Amino acid sequence: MVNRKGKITDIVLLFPALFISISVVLIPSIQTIYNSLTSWNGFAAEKTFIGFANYLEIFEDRYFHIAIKNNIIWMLLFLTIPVCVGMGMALLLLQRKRSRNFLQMIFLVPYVLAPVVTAMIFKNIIYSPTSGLIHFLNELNVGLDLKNPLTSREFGIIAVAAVDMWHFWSYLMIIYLAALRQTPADQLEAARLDGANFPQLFFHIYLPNIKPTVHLMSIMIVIFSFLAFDYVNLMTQGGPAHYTELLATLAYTSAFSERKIGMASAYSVIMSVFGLIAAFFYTKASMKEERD
Amino acid sequence: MTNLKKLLSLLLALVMVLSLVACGAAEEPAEEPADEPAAEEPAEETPAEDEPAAERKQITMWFWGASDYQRNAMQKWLIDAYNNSQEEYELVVEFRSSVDSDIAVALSGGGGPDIVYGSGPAFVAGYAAEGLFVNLDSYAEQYGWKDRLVGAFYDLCTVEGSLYSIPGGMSNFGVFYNKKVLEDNGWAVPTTYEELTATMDKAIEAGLYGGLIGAKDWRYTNEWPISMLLTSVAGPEAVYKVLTGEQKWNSPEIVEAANEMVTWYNNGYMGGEDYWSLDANEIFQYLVDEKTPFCYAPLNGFQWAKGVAPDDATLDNIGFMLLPAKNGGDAPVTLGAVCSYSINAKSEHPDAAAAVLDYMLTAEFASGMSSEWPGYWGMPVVEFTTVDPADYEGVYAAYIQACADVVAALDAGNFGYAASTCFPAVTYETSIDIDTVWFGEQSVEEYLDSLDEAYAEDVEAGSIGQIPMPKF
Repeated sequence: MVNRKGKITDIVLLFPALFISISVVLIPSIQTIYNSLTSWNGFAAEKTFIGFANYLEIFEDRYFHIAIKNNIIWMLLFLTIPVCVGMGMALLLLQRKRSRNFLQMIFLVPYVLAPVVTAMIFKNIIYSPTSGLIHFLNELNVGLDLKNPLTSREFGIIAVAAVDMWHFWSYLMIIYLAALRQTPADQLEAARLDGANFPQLFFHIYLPNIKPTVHLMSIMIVIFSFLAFDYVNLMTQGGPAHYTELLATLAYTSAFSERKIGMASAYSVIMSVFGLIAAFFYTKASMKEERD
Repeated sequence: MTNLKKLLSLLLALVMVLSLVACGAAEEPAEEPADEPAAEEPAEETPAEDEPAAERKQITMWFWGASDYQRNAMQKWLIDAYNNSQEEYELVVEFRSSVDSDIAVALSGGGGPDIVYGSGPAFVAGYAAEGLFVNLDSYAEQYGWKDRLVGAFYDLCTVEGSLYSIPGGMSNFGVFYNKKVLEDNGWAVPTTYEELTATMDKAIEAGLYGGLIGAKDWRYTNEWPISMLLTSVAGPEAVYKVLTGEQKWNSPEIVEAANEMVTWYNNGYMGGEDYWSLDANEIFQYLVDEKTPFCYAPLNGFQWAKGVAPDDATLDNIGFMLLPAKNGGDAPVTLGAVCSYSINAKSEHPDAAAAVLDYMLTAEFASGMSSEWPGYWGMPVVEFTTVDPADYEGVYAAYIQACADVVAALDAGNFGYAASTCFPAVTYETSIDIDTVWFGEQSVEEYLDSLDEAYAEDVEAGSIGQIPMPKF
C-alpha cells in the first residue's frame, strides 16, 4: 500500500516537469518535424505534404553549404579561443584570492551587455573604416589599408564570431573557476609536497577533476554553435553575398522573408541533428565516466 | 512529518500546474493589451481622452519602433486626431522594433492587432488568400477610396480584384543632392543620366564620394539600386513584362540594368566599399556635411536628412530630384509604399478600423504628419496634388512638392516598381543577391537566371500580386 502511494506521489510530482516537457518540447518538436515535410507557408489552413523535398532542396542549395562551413568554423573557433582564454583567466584568478571577486565582476561586463549593444560597439567603433578603429589605423599613414572585416569573404564569419567570443569567454571563465575551486585540497597539498610545479598541478590534478565540466561546456558549445544567430543577424544578416550565412539565418530568411515555414522547419531539424549528435557523445562520455 | 512533506509537495505541484494553465488561458483574449505610447503622451489635453479607457473599445495597431519626434507626430496626427473624432473607440498604437516578425507570428497563431502593419502590398497577397485579412471592397465603396487613391496604388493593393490593404506613404526612389556642394564646385544640377554619372565622376576626382547608399545595418538596402536602376535603365515596360511573366528576367533590358548596377557599385557611385560601412543616417550626415553631392534613397530620405541636419539652413541645402531615365524621356517614378495597412479578419471592430484607415487616406492627415515627420507619410492620395507646398517651408515644402510630383507621374502612368512593394516574396529575396554579382560570386546572367527560377516558384505558390500597368 505504501509503495503504491509512493508511486502515485512520484507520478504527481513528475507531472509538472513532464507537462512542461511535453507541451513546450515534445509537441513543438513533432510539429516542426512534420512541418519540415510540408510546403506550409505559416498561415495556410492546410499543409501540403511534400515528403523530403525541402531537405533535397536544402542539400542542393549552395548557401546551405556556405552555412554549414560557417557553423563548423564557428564551432571550432569557440571550442578553442574562448575555452583557452576562459581557462587561462580562471587559473590566473584562482591565484588571486583577494581581488578575485572584483576581477570576475569586471570580466563579466561583456557577458552582461545586450547583444545589440555589443554588436553596435564592434560595428561602429572597432570595424568601421569610416569612423572606427580601422579608420584610425588607416589614418596613421603607416602603409595600412585595412578594410571592414565584415565584408571579407574569408574573414567575415570570423569577424562576427570574434564579437560573440568577446561576449562569451568570461562566462566560460566563471564556470571553469567554479569547477577549479572544487578541486580537493588534499590532492593539491600532496602534489605540492611531492614538488609538483603549476603546469604539473594543472594537468595532473586540476584538469582530471574538472574534466566533467570541461566535457559539458564543450558539448554545450557545439550545440550553441549550430544555433548561433543573433550576432550574425545584428551585424550582417548573413551578407554580404551570403559570406556570413549560418543555418539559423537561412532558417530565419525562409520563415520571415520567403514565408516558407516548411523549409525553415527543415533547417531547424538539421540544426537539431547536430545538437543531438553532440548530446549523444556527451551522454556516452558521461556513462563511461560513471563506469570508470 | 513525512506525510506533511508529501502533502506540501503535492500542493506545490498543484500550484505549478494551475499557474501554467492560468498562463495559457491569459493568452486567449482577442484584443491585445495596451501597454504603450498612449501612456507616454499626456492625455489630459482632450475631453475625449478624459473618459476612462475601459469605456472605449480598443482598436489596436502595431508599428515599428519609431523615434521620439516620430511618436509625437503619430500621437498628435493619428492617435489623438482619431480618438478625438469620436467617443466609442480608442486607437492604441504599440511600437515594436520587431514588428514584421511579431505580426507574422501573431497572424500564424490566429491573433494580432486590429490594424495590421505590413511591409507593403506584396506582403498582403498570401494572407489575403488565406482569409486572414478583411476584404475592404465594401469600405472602399463606402468611403470612395477608389477615387481618392492614386489608381496604380489602388490596383497594387488588390488581390484577385478585391482590395485587402491600403498603402502607406510613397517610397519613390530618387536623388537627394546638396545644392551647396554642386554650386561650390561649379556643377549644375544634372538633368540627364549622363550628366549625373559625369558629375559623380568629377566628385570622385575631387576627393568626394561620387554618391552614397548605405547597407551597413540592413543588407536589404540592396533593393534601392535594384529598384532605381531597373526603373531608370530597363524602363517601366520591360519591368512590367517581367513581373507579369511576359518576359524573362534574363532579357536584354534587364541585363543592361543589372550591368549598370555592377558599374555603379564598381565605380563608387554608391560609396564604393563604404557601401557596407554606412547606414541611412550616416549617408545623409555625409550629404549634409558636404562629403558627397548625391545620396540615393527613397522619399524617407527627407526624414533622415531632418534627423541629422544641425539646423534648418543646412537642411535647406538639400534638394531632391527623380533619377533621370538612361534612355531619355521623362524620369519615371518607382511605384512603392513604405508599408501597407490591412484589417485583421479576427478584429472585433472592423468598421472602426476602416474608419482609421479612411482618416489616414486624407490630405489633412498626410500633410499634417509630413509637416512634423517628412519623408514617411506622403500617402498616395489624389488630393495630395491640391496641397500647396508654399504653405510649408524648406525641406517640408520640398517633400510636399516631391509627393505631388510623384502622384502626378503615377497618374500619368510613368512609373516603374519598387522591389519590396511589388516583387513577390521569393523573387524579392533572390533579387537582394545582387551583392553576389558585385563580389564576383556569380555573373549577371546567373543572377538573372536565379531570378527566373525564383519567379517561377512564386507563380507556383500563387504569390504574384496585382501589378499595375504603366503607360507604354
